Amino acid sequence: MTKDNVSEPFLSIFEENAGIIIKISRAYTNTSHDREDLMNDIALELWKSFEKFKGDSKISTWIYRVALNTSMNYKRKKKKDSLFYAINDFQKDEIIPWLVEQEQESSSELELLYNCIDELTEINKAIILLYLDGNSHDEISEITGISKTNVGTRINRIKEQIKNLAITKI
Amino acid sequence: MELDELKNIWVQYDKKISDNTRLNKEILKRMLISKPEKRLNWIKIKAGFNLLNPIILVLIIMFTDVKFSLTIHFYIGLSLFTALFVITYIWNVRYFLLIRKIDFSGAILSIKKGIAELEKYKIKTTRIRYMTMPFAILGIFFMLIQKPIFNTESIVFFGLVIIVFISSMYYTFKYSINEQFRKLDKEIAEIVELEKE
Repeated sequence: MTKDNVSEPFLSIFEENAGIIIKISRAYTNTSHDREDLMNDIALELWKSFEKFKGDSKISTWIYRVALNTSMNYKRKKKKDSLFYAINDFQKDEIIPWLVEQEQESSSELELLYNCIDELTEINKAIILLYLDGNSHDEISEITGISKTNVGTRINRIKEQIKNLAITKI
Repeated sequence: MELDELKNIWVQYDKKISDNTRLNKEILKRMLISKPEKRLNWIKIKAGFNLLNPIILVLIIMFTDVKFSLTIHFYIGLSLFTALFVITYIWNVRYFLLIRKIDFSGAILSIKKGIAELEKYKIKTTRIRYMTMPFAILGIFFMLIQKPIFNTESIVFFGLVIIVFISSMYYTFKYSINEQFRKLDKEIAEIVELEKE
């Protein structure tokens, strides 16, 4: 498969699922520069693994896995001399605005929700993002590698945690 | 904040994203095609440099016109240096191959564990490299200096080399490597625990 004939189907899939990348990258970063940088990383990792994607899982499962794994590794990448730092880093001036966003006000509830999510551990963050996106326990289990029963228990715990965090943050 | 409320906020957010964002496919396409090429070139340069290391070393020796006398000192030095150089070389190549094997489309827990173990491997090799470095340096001295000269200047020189080396090792082991190792072990233990649950 050459790069050119891969890019068209890839771009369509990417366009359909851009929302996933936007939501995940916002949850795993704290500044807009980092967010854009992470989105670029996710796009690249998806493109890199697209040729290897054989369709043995749902497209959304593949996208969630790559996006979450890249996001979790993002902090590692930021540390000097850590894995992928040199080979996968973007300079500030290399960030290209391929995503066109219209100015939109972020609701205070959404800000509060993201603030609460920010306090969770990396894995819990992934679970709640997958849950809020409407994934079933089975799908969350397939994406994360955590057992189905454990997913259910964790969601309940995270829910409580967010509830308590929201009270302290209001 | 109840779960239904959270879900409502999220659904609205999702709608806002799909209504207000669009992709500039041309820019994205250019970025996707150019960046992996740049990255691949960098990987090739790095790998090439690692593979060419021994040749570079031989060339340096040839062009600096260093004279060796083939005494027992020379052979001891050569074996010390070569053994450590080869081990380090193999570790570099192995680490590089392991990095390339990581596939982000795997389940989150297994990737997290794989990366933590890879970092641990890197730290472990760095630790051994630090500990064996004095032997490699000793090997170089054995090859270059046939008869040790003991005067004030040579003693000060070796003293300074040893002090700098010991300070660097102390800092790396006490504050940096041990701490990183502890964190990685904790991270791996947590993942294993999660897998068992």
